[in-house]
Amino acid sequence: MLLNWLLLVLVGMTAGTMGALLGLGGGIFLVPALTLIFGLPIRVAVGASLIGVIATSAGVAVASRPGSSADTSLGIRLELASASGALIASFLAGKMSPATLSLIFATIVLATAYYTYSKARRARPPVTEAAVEALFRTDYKPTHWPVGLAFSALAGTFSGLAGTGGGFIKVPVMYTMMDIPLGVATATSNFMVGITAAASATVYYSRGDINPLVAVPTALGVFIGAVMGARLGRKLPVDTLRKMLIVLLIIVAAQMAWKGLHG
Amino acid sequence: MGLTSWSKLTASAATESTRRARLRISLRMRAAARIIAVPALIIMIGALFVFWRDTWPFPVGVGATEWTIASTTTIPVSELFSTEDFLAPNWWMSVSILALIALPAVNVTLVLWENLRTRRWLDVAAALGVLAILLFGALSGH
Repeated sequence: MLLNWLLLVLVGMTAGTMGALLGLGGGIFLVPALTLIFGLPIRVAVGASLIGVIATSAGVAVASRPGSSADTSLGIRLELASASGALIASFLAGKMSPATLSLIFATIVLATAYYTYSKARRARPPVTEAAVEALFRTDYKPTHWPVGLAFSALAGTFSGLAGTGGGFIKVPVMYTMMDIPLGVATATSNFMVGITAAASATVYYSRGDINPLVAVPTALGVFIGAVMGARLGRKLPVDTLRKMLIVLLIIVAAQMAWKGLHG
Repeated sequence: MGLTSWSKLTASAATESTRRARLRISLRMRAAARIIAVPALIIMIGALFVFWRDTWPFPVGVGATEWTIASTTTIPVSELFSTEDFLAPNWWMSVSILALIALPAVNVTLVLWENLRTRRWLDVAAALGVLAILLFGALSGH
């Protein structure tokens, strides 16, 4: 048992580090790892993943620089749609078969792979003080609220069904559609994913789908990993990691789809 | 002073005020994460240790894998304080998981407080709505 716990902590640490480095919640790595490696039922994996997403959000909040501040006004308004979507989807997840959940998860993983691919293609501008300042500028006005709210609800739905935070939807939507600076969008997304995951986690907890012996070691690992990831961010070759991740995500999506189709 | 310069000065002051407000709330949320998440994680380590010590060297659970441990589900919120087994690792694990789930709700409350203070009523309504959703989810199983 001790070995299993240590393995869970290790899996959580990897998920937390990757999540903090690449701006994704740990959920996208945790659910496949828990179902494919440990053979856990998908609902238990999703429950543990949701706790992991909250731990990632807390870990990043603990380790991030005070200047990298979220737009809580924007976040709390979008979160109304996101948390509602998460709540409804969490109830629905209780009624769905594990095979359907696996197929939905495979689709979400593919969407994440595409998001990571499009992010990897963008050339990285040199990190200067002015560039960092521009990432967190405050002289903007959010636009296209209906689109933002609709996509936030979708992100919440994914969270309730698949145990992700939905950051891979929230960040690009805020950045490309609502005209929010990238740094502010990322910090706001980190603030939001914790709340979205909590909305889903309350339902999973009430239903008894959170197994403490799985969720606790995973959350421990994720928290440590997220703190490490937030601190290591500038020292690691993130672009190389991103390219490796795309390949990994496609393999995971194929495996989850296979599991969904063939049990 | 010309009208353009005056409006630029006003916009600059508003930007600085927004920056300060964000910094203030981000520092509070960081403190909340340290106060709630770090002790919760320490409790988790302790509970895991006690669980491991109590079950070692006997295998836990029946069936094909050790993960089929039917007795290790979380304790429902309504039974959390009516149970007599406060020292059981399962109780501590449930409490620490709930503390982690409650952390985002604390963050929303901090946002609510800040908006009440600055009288941004739309954001106050949004924060109250989010808190209501979280509460509904927590009470859904009872």
